[in-house]
Amino acid sequence: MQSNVDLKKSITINPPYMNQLMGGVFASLGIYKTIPLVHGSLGCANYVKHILVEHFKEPLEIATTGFYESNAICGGIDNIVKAVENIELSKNPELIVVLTTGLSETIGEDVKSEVKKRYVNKNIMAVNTPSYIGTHIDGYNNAVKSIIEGILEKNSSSKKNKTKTTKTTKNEVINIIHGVVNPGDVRELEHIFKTLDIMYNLLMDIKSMDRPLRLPKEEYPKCDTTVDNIKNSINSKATISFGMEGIDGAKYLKKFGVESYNLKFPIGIENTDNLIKTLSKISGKEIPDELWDDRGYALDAMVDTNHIVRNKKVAIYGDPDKVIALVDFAYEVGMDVVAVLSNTNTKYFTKKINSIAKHNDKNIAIVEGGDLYELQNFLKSHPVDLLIGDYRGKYVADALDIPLLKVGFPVIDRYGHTKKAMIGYNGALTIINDIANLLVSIDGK
Amino acid sequence: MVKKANETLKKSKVDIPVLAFKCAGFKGKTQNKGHMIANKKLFELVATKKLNNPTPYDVNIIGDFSVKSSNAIEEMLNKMGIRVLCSFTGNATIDKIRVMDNAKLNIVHCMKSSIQFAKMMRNVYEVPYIVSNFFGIKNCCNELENIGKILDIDKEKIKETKDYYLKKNEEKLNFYKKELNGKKVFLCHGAQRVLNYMGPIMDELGMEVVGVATYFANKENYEDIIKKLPKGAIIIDNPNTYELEEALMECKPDVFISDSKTKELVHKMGIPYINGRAPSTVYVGFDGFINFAEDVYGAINSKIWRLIR
Repeated sequence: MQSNVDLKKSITINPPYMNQLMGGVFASLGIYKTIPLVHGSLGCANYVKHILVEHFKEPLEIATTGFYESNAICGGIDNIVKAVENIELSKNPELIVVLTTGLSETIGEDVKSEVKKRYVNKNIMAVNTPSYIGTHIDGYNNAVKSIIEGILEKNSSSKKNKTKTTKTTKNEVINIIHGVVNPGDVRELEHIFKTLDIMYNLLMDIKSMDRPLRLPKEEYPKCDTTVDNIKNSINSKATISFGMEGIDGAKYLKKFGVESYNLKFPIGIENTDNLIKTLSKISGKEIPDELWDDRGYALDAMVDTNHIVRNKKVAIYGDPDKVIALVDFAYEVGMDVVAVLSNTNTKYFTKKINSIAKHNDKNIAIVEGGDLYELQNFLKSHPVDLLIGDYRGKYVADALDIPLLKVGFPVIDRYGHTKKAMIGYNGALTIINDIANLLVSIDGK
Repeated sequence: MVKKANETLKKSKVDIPVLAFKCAGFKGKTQNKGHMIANKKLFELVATKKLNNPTPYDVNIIGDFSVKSSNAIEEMLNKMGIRVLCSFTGNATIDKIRVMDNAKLNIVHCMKSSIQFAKMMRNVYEVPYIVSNFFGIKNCCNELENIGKILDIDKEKIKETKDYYLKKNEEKLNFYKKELNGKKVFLCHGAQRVLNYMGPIMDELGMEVVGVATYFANKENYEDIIKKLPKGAIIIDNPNTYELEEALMECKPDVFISDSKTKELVHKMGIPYINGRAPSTVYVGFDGFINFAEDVYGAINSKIWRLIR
């Protein structure tokens, strides 16, 4: 059973995705001393800032080139020059990432090459993030690649004509591109790496968006990804990336001889097993007892809650790779997945979901390319007990009066959400407990 | 494009009004222009329906965009026997907007752009308007008297209403006056709101305004602000976070009043903050002013700020 969606439809109600700019800014915020500079009108930067601030509940700084009518006609390269001067004067950053918007892309400015030409010796680069195509996942992917590429090209051009694919001697470090996740998820990843005793190099560390309140306020938030770390990433042994989030960056690093391992998101037991096995294989390290304990705790919670969660019907929507992993997890705990909705167009989503369904002897309806309103209409005739996704599902949950488990990004109406992990064994533990509590609280208050 | 789509829609058999708002994001420097575009369009709806039971005490409130604030003002006016036809657009429906022309008076509250709407109403439907400020006890008293006079309401009734509210809040107000006296405030809002807030904060609560940051203020606004400000206070025009941070380091206010944009920043600096737009409560009217004092008092005296180091 599969509901095919007419892609030519002229209206979208409650879209489950955001624009590329959001992903681009998300990636640039994960680098120490970096200012994202949005090349477009004020509202473009404001929207992204609003969502990010509400989600992380932290201050953040986004610069904008402030397009006006004249820029919309004559172009706004001069604005970039002025903005860069201004930012350097007041903030003295290590890196400035110029992100394009729908407006600057529509008037046809070649921002990328213009920035490259003007700032040969400075760490300033442009990323193409047109708002009218793709989603925040594409934006993140593009930005990660463009930033790595930009920094490495600048680095190699100074050493004169080293060919792009020079292979360097590798150290034992493993790069991680963690994708669009929360600081809690990054901590869980770090926990896994530390327990396995593997040296790691986070690429775009979003932990910068989780800051303690201590005086005096630091000018830039602490963050493990620095420009130097990105430069050094070519010396690493391997790169781990999840799904399509950051895959292009990993592929780019492969040119330098860094092995790329593209895994499923480590959500649920089997997917996390897979990550840990892969890491163990790459590094040659034994899996320590502590991780087996973590696995045991998660399984214990899954067994404890099994009588509540078992056979419950669920619909899942959100970023494609997380949806795929969550479907895996839902089957692990005995839930029945009724419908899924991916917010980003991918070649593999339908194939993968169908193969998971077949593997588990079930049927899953796929609303690919659809919006939450379509999902809502579908769920009217195919009722579910639980909805899993980001906060925008509340409109569906309200209308159909079903509980909603808020996971991932963005969740602007919950406190402490960004501390929670979704990935790893501890993530599985958190999710399953949350699901059980949610289902129990409807029945018994 | 939008215009054309609008025309096409109008011709088709949709029996609800279709309005097209042409708001290019790169046009104009502030959201003010957007308000004006919307006002002009919504004005087309006025006088498209007959009001069945007009009274001589019908008014409109124009320019309060908060439902709760509109309700608070409506409640006060109702006590004096005044009926509010429409709170544009804080508490408005299409049907309410359609009968706005029947009002005897338009009460313009706060927003710069709403004066334009009031002027259009005056020019076309001959409804006079007054500019009002319902923030602060004294301001509320003045406004009630003023509106009562224009609508020719019994003086006893006005006094009764005023006394009711004054008596109700007297004790609390005296407490907060004593507690908040001399505390330092930093205001960061649009020019109109800064002007409305400054007077009552300084005169009625006895607090000290040590700094003002405004967005989109013009020369006249600044002249007015400077007239009211005490010596030594800082004024910043259209600050970015960097400039705001510096200013806050310098004047070290006890409380920072602004909209949600700067909340996370000042919290990270360990400075108490309240949202001057009152998203979940009401700051206008007699009761609203007590809410405001309560919020400021609560924010300043939370133990959290003393724990931070």
